[in-house]
Amino acid sequence: MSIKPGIRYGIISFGILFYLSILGLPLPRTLGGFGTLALGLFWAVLVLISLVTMRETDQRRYTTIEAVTGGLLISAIAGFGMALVVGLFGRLIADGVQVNTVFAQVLPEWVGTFTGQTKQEVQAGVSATTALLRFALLMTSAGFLGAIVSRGLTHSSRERWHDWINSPFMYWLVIAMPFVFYVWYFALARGILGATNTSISGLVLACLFVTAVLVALRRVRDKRRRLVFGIAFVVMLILLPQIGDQFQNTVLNKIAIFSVVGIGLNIVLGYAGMLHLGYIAFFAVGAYAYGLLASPDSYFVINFMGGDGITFWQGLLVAAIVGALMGIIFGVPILRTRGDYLAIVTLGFGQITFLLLLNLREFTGGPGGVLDIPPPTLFGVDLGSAESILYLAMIMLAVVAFMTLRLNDSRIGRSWRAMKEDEDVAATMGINLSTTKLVAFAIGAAFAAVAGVLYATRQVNIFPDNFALKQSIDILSLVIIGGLGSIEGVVLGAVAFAGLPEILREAENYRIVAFGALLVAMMILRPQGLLPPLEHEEDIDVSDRRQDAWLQIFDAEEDDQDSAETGATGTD
Amino acid sequence: MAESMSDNGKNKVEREIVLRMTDVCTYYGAIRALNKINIEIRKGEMVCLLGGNASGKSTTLKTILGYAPPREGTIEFLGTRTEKMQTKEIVGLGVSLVPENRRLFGRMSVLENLKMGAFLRNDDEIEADMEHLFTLFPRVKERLHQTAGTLSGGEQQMVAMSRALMARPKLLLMDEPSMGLAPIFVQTVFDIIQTISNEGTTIFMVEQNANMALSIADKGYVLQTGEIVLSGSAEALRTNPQMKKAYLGDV
Repeated sequence: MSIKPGIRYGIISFGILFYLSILGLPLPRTLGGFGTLALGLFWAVLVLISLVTMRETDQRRYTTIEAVTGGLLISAIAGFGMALVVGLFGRLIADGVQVNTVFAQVLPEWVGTFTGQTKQEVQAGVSATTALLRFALLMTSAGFLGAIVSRGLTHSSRERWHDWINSPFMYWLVIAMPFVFYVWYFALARGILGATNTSISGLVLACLFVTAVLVALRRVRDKRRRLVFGIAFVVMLILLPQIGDQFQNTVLNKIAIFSVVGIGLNIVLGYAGMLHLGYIAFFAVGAYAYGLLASPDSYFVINFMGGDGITFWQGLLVAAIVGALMGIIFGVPILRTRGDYLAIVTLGFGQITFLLLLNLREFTGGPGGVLDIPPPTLFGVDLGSAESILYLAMIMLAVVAFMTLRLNDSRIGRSWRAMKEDEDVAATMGINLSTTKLVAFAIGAAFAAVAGVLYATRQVNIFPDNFALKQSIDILSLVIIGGLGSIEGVVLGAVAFAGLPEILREAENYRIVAFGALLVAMMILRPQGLLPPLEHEEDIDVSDRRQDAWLQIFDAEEDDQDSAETGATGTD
Repeated sequence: MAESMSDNGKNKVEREIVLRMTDVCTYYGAIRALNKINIEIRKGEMVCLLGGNASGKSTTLKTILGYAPPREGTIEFLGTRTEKMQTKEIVGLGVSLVPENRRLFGRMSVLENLKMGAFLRNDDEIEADMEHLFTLFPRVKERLHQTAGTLSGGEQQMVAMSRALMARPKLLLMDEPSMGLAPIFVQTVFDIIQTISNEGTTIFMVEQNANMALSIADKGYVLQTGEIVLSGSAEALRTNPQMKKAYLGDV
């Protein structure tokens, strides 16, 4: 029956809606008819997700009746619940209770978005029963629609879904998408579409293009096609910085830089399986290493280097070495810790680094940061523009990704993965756990540090706040959201974490809420990440997989007459 | 005290001692898991260690491998004292383990699992050894590029054995190879163990399935709460009345 889960998910949906609304998320109803439609759609999707989740929990398909009752229950509970709460708050406000001392966003205007009343009307306590009933009914009918749509989804079997995904149409569609987005982006940026103020929409298209490339590359398995499309994508990527304006290139280079950091963390976490919560420290070390040795105002440059800082290219080398050393130094004390303890200790290291940057004022500039970090130059040409930095970041990303791919398939890569799966058994293979872990830390840290150099020169001025715990968690989340252990996943995660905030700039305050919700939803619906590493099963026919040994009794006859006989006596 | 029985097995000729544990005591904190264990394994032999739950069977293997280093006593592997060595060093000397419950690297391919088995090897015969294993385990070859975790229990056991053999062990430790397998498969696994043994690999096997183990072993030890209470040739153990009563049931 779908009544009990219907009630449960109704309450959960109500909770989500209530939570979002008291955070002050503006309800699109204020936008008029279009807003109502948007709200209805949002609601329908919520019901749809609830129903799919219900089905997954119940491990069976729902009939139409069940799906529709479930959907109606969910939306009615949440809709009427919301109406009730709004009515209650309206009453309280009218009675002069200062509700917003507890719920800061619950102002008369907040009530008004649901009831359609003005501030004065709410404060005067004008009855809004009809409006609230209308709101509740709107929600319920949207939920009803959602239930009808979701029935289609929940009822279609997994096989049909699978067939559809694997159809040639989908295959070519996936391959076509990067080209579509690319041409669209180009047309938009060149004004062919007639639109003005294309910064944000262009960025959306650029991000979609990158995402589509990642998805397409994963879909194309055929070696020759892979090469052909791979070359096409590379050419498109090389020309990409030429299309965009400065804003778009700035965001794209941030995406590329964070991808490099993510790939580094991916080695530590995705391959070697060590949850490092202070990983941003290595990024900071790289950025500060270059900043402090290159900025003309830095303590080191003034006192020890006669005012002449190092170049960007020297900075890369220094950062790689310092980063690797830091990785090892931070790695030694945590060699013996595992799991939760490792996470806590690394968290501590991240904080120590942050506090040192903040408090060693004399050397690091303290909260004032390091200023005027010089741009990279090549043969006297200034490479400080967003476009040049994007090129540098793409080259760095390509090099780091290539190295990681090679490493993953090497002896050390295999030992990382083996160690991640089972440390004890890995040791019985003869793996030196300490060395293997330290190599992972050193390489991961070096990648992050090198990315830090590029970040420093991109930012021109760096401050300890750029490397606080929040950034560490961002990088961790981008790796997990993207898909642990997969490079495409990390890049996609970087698009989400560096690109989305810019796209959602208007709604900056709700970014964290949205990401929180995204993370929770991801962990429930797709714990392996958006683009997890591919399994090794592509060439195996599913029907060929014998699920359990006892099923072999049936093939035993054709396989081996003797073993069938001995097996039969053995079971006696 | 251990009740020694006359050795009338097929190993009359004195062969090189591969492993000798002398008066080994292992503790987990204050708890004594092994009490004055004496075990001797000669080259080419298949020796099984029998005993009920919590009798110290797995601890014995852990002690040999250096996971649970002994507090007292000595362990000698091919003339080298190993009781104070680290796991990786002991493995480097040529000890290989087929762990309890297989414990494959589930997200790696079968091939990668085999390569992990040959982790410490650096010779050109790895490929040849792999081919040889495929003759023993044709199923493993079929599954070579599949993710190891998706195999059935029996197939995983085969991969686990192949992985251990890829190291060309001088001593192969097996921890409950029959555990969790369908009865029909247990016989197959033991047949394969027999084949491996016939090819000259020295095997030390921990088992609960005493009947089965003694049917293919040369020698056996019986552990009870950390002490060896019986030892001798497999044949002698099989006919020992005490043994019959405690472990074999009425056969």
